[in-house]
Amino acid sequence: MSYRLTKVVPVHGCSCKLPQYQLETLIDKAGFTQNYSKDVLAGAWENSSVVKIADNLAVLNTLDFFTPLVDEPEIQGRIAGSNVTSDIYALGITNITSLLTIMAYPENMPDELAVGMLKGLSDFCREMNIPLVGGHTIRNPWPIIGGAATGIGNMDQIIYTRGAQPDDRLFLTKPLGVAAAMAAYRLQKEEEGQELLSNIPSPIVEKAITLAINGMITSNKSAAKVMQKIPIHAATDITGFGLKGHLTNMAKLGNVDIVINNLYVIPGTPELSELFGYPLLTGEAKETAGGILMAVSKENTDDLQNELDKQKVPYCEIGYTTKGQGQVTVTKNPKITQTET
Amino acid sequence: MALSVEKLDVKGKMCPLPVALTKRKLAQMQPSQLLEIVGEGELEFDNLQRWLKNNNYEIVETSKNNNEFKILVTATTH
Repeated sequence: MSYRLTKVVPVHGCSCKLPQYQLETLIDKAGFTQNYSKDVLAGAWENSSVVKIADNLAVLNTLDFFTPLVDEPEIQGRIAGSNVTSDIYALGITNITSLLTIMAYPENMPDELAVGMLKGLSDFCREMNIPLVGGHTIRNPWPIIGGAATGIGNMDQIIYTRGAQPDDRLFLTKPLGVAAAMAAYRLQKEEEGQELLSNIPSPIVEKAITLAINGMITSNKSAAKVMQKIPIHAATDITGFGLKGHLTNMAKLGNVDIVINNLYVIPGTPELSELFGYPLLTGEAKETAGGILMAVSKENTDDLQNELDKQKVPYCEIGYTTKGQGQVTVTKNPKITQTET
Repeated sequence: MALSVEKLDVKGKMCPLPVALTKRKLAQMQPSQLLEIVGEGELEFDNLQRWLKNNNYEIVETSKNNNEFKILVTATTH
């Protein structure tokens, strides 16, 4: 097919997200975080909003959409599904009651690509047992796919980004490096890109791309199940603000400092990031449909790891918290742990 | 003595080529040289400036004309 989804957009996946500082300014100026009622338990800076609707019962809402990362429409739809639902799973809630799609595409994009994106999203929802109950589609110069998800859960089961405590240990459930792997995916299809990539053996590039795509289409639901069984202090998924951006949010909300001493990465992505000038090894590279970062007390790390193993969720301990005021530091020359699966 | 200026045209190149080609070009240059990068697009302009600043390159001058931009940068970090 000659129409390439990734070729018609200048930014891909969560890289199209507005930078955090710019978003903070907009929200401050608009003043929309003001005047919440006491039933609003979480707002703009959590992964999902949380609103109390009855005693010990809350509804969670989230919205997420982005530009294509891959040219295969069904895979793109699956990535979108995984990414949207992750914002509810990140709070430890597994009961997603419904999902609405958001799609946009230009007039010159073949309809079968739009069908493919919807099919991928629909298949993902079916497999996760989430009713896909409607949506909205518009014309737009950039193709876009995503959705709005609603979840429901007991208030005492919800785990927020804000709960980190000093001396917690931090575990991440998917490796970093999606931006570099997917840049390689795009460059492979361009003559000049192939020339640039010739510095890195092609099996390494291929493996990075395969692992990145497999990671993105893997749901974070199993990680959320683990969070229901272990007393996790705080959690967030790692997406467009990058590891450091999301952890800065966690550190500020929890009044702790965070030290990252081990970067959990897709093999080959440190080399690709070096080639492209991406800030992977400083924890600043953008991720898409990334894993869940959990902060847990030192005493509960064994139980957490046992439960993650039981649920077959890959993971890596990447750092810890200290008393502080919201600083996040990646140590000089951090350990690099490369996943194989 | 006037510094010699190398040129790099990244117009129409998809991300991450503008930054990757700039990075490679700067690494090949002498510290005394200047690089003039010509490109297009707001995002590419922002991305390049951010990468140059984050990597301690000194941006001497920038200019924009509609969608096109120029960045003049020294080939040495400070």
